[in-house]
Amino acid sequence: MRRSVPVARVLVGLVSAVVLAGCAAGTSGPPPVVNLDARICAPGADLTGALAVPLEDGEGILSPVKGVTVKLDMDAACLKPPSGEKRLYAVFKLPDSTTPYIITIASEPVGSGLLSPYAQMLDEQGRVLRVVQRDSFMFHGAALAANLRSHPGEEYLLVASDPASVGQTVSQIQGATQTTTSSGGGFFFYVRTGSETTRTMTYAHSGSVTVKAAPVPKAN
Amino acid sequence: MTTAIYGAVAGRRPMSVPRMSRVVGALALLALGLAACARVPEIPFDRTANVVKTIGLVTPRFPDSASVILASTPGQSFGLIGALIDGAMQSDRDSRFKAVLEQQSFSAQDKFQQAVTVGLAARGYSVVSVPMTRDKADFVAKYPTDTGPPVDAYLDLVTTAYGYIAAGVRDSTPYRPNFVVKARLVRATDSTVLMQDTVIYNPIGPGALQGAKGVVTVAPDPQFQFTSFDLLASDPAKAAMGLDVATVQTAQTVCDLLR
Repeated sequence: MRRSVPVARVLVGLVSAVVLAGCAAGTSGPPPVVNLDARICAPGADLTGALAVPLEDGEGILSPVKGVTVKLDMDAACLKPPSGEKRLYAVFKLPDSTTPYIITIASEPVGSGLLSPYAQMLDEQGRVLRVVQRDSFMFHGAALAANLRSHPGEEYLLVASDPASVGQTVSQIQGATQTTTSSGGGFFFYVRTGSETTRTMTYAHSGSVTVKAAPVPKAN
Repeated sequence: MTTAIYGAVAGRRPMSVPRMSRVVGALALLALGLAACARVPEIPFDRTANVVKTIGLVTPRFPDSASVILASTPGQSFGLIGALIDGAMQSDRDSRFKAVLEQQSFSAQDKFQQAVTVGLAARGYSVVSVPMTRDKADFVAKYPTDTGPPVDAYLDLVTTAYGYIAAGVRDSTPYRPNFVVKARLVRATDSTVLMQDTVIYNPIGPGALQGAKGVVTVAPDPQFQFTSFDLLASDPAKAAMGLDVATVQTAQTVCDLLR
């Protein structure tokens, strides 16, 4: 029994360290890219480096849909359409499937920046078949995400930054609860506490984009 | 803080049967709030692939009353006894908040239905009200096959919690408005689910925003916050207005899912 107290202290220490590390991870990272003046950009998207997105099963907690994640930084591919502004982008090759599936595009925060997303569905030759406007992306926690049903003929997905909203900021109040373990008199007990923070993010050309593809869930 | 709260509760006389039933009701509400975490799989609506012009808005499901929840309390560390004390305190908050809303003549149900109707119309849909009652807090099991004016799809909305919520007992975690709704659009002809999602205004929970996968979230308006329930109850107009804003923003977000 005597030896359990130091073990408990170590456990509490470890839990605290993990919690603190989690808090710190949310705000560290490079500054958001909000200006592309120095970049020389191509007039069209390059499809040759498209990242293949697998069609994942995603059923059960042991096989969650992971998707493909790309970090967009100052060195990412840059596009300047003939009648548009510069934007960073990444291209994904969509799965070949005869049955419809759901594509999820999620922009996750990196440091204090959040890629302000815009997307296009392209055919085999890179022609635009469908546009996913910026306002189609809705907050899912700190991430901006959009879900889409696949359409026949859409081979590629281009995810780019939305220059019109880059530089704007958004603040979110985040409430959360945490459970920590304490000990006393040889007993362990759990203490649940609440916390609240305000996270301010800058919409940016840079960030982290994850694209997933999964079958349409059964709802009936 | 713990001593003060539990000292106050311990000083009360033994619970009467009606009070005990309110406690049980409050615990059930808490369970409902936790059940709200049981999200539905997200299914996006594809407006270009579906001819939906007229939506039948099924009477939205609502809990019996608004709730004022403390997401973390000292009582949660003390098992059933702690839960009973928490339940009694929440029951008290809920009944006082109900009086606040009645004083302000605010009905979240009416406001929500009205805001959804307006929001759908703004997005180009005709809306037909479809009065329905349901036995449980879930989507309708069977939709009508013949409505007055014919509809292309039914919008089924299940509100699992609404009111105010605070992450903890300290001043740094104030009460803010909260609204949780599950939404489903079902094709009238064959009951195919065309859209399904969950919208949470002011999500609070373990790692709330970081882990909010599969749920559309709306951050709370910072101007509506109360560091204690007594302050909330002492400003009925502001308290009702905060819930009004949450209700309308949640309704608009649901409508955005049908763009």
